[in-house]
Amino acid sequence: MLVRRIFLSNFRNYHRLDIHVGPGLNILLGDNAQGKTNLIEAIHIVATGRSHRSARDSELVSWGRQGYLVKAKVTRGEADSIVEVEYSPVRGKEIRVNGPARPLAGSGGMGAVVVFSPDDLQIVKGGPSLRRRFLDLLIAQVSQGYRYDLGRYVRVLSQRNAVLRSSRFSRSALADLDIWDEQLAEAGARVVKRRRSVIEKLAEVAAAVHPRIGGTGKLDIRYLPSLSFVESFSDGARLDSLKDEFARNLKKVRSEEIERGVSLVGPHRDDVAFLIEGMDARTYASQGQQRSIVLCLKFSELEFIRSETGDAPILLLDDVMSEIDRSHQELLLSYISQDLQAFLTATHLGQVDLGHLDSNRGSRIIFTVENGTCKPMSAGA
Amino acid sequence: MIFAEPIARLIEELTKLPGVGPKTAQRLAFHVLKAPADDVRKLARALIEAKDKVRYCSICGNITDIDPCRICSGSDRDRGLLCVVEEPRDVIAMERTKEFKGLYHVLNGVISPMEGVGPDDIRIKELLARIRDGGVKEVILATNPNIEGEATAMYISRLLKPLGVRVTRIAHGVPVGGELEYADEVTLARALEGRREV
Repeated sequence: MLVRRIFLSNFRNYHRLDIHVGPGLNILLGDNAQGKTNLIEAIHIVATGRSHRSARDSELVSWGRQGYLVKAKVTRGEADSIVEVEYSPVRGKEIRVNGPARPLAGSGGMGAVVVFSPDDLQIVKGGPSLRRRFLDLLIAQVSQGYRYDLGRYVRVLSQRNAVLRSSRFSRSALADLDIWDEQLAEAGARVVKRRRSVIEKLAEVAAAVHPRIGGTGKLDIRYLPSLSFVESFSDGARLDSLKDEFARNLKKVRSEEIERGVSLVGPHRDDVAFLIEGMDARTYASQGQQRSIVLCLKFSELEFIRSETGDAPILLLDDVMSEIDRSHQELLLSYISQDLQAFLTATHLGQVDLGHLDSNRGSRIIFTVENGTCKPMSAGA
Repeated sequence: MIFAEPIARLIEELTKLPGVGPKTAQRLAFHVLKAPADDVRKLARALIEAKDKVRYCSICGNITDIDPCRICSGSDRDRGLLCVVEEPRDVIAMERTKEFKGLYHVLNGVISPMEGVGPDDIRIKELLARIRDGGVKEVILATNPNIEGEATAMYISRLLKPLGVRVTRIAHGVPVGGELEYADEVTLARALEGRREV
């Protein structure tokens, strides 16, 4: 998917904006707090229907206004479409593609995005929940079914944990655990099966990308499922057998779960390991190596989505130029020239090695972002 | 306060209604002020009568003005067939099909531990009593196909099966009359999994 033109109304600090953007690299230049990231967010919303920063649509509305409108002209394949995402407190959020809203279109997006921001360094360094989040966001972009199953899993888990908590006060409540276990195992089996196969594919892509970006050592990505039997299951394993095994595991830990009042096994406790030459990068890799891994992950994410959907995702680079060194910058920018649309924010041009860019075939447009306005920079400037 | 006391109070009460925000409440309030006094009295009376005269059927739990309700006392109903639903509005939906000729049992909720609703908080005991009284051959579980609806259906089926009654669950899949092109991916994928031989 390519974004051609963006129109914003009462969105964050943009009261009104209407700009044409380029099919290659778009550089958003401006001081801090002028609206660069807000524009990145708007593109994210056009593509996926939701923000990557805020869960609440009311937070996206300009101060003192009633609702927002994000509208874009996009090209997918050969066809042009108009995507509109509109929010008002009364009607909620509506997503329209070429006309009236279709009720079910709300859950899915038009295209995929890969976001790269300084926070992403935490994927390697931080806790397991950040790695699960990375994985979930990635899979959800290529599979609506996954989004649905994960949502169900989380909901059943909360219900089940509520039973476990209340069982401390009333033993009779325990009889009710069974009715949640069935659904937990069913939704959970779908989640782990998908996670397993995606990590396998991602690991394959990443192993090939890593040396290309100058990463040292062999990179491996490994799934660490909370339900250890998942590892030994073949990829073609039937959902039913995964589900049965999950249910068996639930029975085994039940008394401990009751004692501790919380669900102990399942995908909500999964983790992913990044190994360099077999050593866990979280503890053993240097800062530089960790950065290489994250950059490698982002490229792999991009290639994975491209191969799964047959469509190149939009690359959103939010304030990463200040975080990575020159050689990584070059690699990043050379990637963009390969028929990829990208939006990059920076505070000054010195952060972007334009000499390198000019040698690329890909088009580039520089925009200056200032206090809720965004204008293409004139060629002479 | 911008509004006179009585208007402010009216707006405040209207805002408590579902789907009514402050602006809609204001518009409704001014409409009431402009309307003929007789119309306003009729509205007020209708509100109070609805609340006073409508109650829950002592058998099925549906809302009714006479007890037992018209469905429970109907002579054209199949008393061997019982459809279990979550809310009175589900009875209306089922009745609209004109296909179902059995009786209903309204649970008035679903099991949801997060919200502190357990099996004893919805009308499951009453359902068991009805089955024990005999006459019912099949129970159709028509709770919603979501997490809580499924869990509630499973809970009920476990209680009922030992009583020797046939327990069934409504099917789900692609909406009839809809085109495949417009069915969402998840529904379609699940419908595919649940395919059957023809």
